[in-house]
Amino acid sequence: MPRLSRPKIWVAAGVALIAALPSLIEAIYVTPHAVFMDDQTRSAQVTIGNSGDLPEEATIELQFGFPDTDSNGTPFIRFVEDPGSQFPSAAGWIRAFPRRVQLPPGDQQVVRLLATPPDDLPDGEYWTRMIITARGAQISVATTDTAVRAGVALVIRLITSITYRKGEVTTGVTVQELTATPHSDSVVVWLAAAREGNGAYLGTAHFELVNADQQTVGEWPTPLAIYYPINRRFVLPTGPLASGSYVLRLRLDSERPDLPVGGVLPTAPVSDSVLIEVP
Amino acid sequence: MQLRSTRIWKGRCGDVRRISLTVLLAVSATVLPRLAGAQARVPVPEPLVALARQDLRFGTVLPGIPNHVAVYPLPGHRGLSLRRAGLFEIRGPDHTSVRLDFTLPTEMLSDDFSHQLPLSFGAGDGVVAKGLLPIPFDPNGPFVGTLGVLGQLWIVLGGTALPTQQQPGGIYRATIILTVSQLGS
Repeated sequence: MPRLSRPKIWVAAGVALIAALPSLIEAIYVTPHAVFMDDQTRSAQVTIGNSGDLPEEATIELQFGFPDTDSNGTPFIRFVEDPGSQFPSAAGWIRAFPRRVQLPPGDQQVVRLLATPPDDLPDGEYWTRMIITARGAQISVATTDTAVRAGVALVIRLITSITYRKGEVTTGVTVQELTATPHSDSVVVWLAAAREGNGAYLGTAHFELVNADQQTVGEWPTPLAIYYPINRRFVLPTGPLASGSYVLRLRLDSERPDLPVGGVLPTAPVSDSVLIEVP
Repeated sequence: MQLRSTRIWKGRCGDVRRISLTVLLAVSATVLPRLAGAQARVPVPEPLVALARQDLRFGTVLPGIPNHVAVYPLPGHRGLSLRRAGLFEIRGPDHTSVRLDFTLPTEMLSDDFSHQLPLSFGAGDGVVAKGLLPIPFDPNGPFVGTLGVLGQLWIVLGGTALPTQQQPGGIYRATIILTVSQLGS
């Protein structure tokens, strides 16, 4: 009997383990997860699919919203039901077709986005969120007359972004305040920042912790979107730090490999730093 | 890549699977994306995917006896218990910034909506894994983070069903809503 090599054994073990894992009971995907439109094309499309083993029904809804931070510095999507003229909302004049799709297992469907903005729309950037809600089949629960049996059904919601640009759109970012506090196994950073121009800042916050010997202790790149001024809290998992002085460096740039080409407006990098003393 | 601590056995009460986090992540890093990718026919560009691999299963509940589905098999145990816990996976481009919110029911309803079965989700009923260490989180609040370098994030969800002494028999159901917000744009 031929002997399996060590890599083959691991692959075989992995496959056996996959067989032991439960099959997909619900799975929904959307691509791209950030849509950029402009006044030249006025249309775009997204693909919604079901990679699970059961049929899904998905609804598509557009609502104005943008990333914001709460009083704890935690980011969330702030939805505004009736944005009025105070906010640059595109939710009222971008439509999705269809708005309800049936997705058999393994199937996908294209959803078209069509923009019909007002004729007098000023130059600038306009936003909305796309909310995709998927409801899978009910979880079957076996029953008897006397037993108490309990099961849960699952609804998955994916929230992605749609951006519409008209005319010249520029952006930038300014750091208003940067503080950092060491804890037992992490550094807690508060970043107050605002964007410039008439477009949202989409970039990456690169945090780098450097010790007194100029050695890098850790690096933490984090995608960042700034629509309105934020005051965001980051927890950087450093592990236990030796006593001494450290510098936390921050560089904000417009690198975003996760977003479609052409979607990110170029910005000049912005840097800042803060001294940390670990007792 | 090393696969360790794999223990699959049959217990007295039926199949019992306990899979260590190391194995889970090692497999997810190698085999799962290919298998699931083939299964999902995922197009390019890389999509944002939410997968429910296993629902939270309370099974048969005895009146008056709380039924706790734990995310760890034993207190202090580092391996995750996937026997009855809910198992979810989020996939997308590397380092995608996401926020996860669970909308958790406080009770289940009988099929005829005439009876309730209380539910409870505690601060220790959630675990997120994207690297080699699980990160506990309270499923009653949000989890904010980035997908790992493999573009994956696993969520394990436990909970407790709290039947009364006089809990009528029947089927009880509730709905859990998992909201995945893409925060990076």
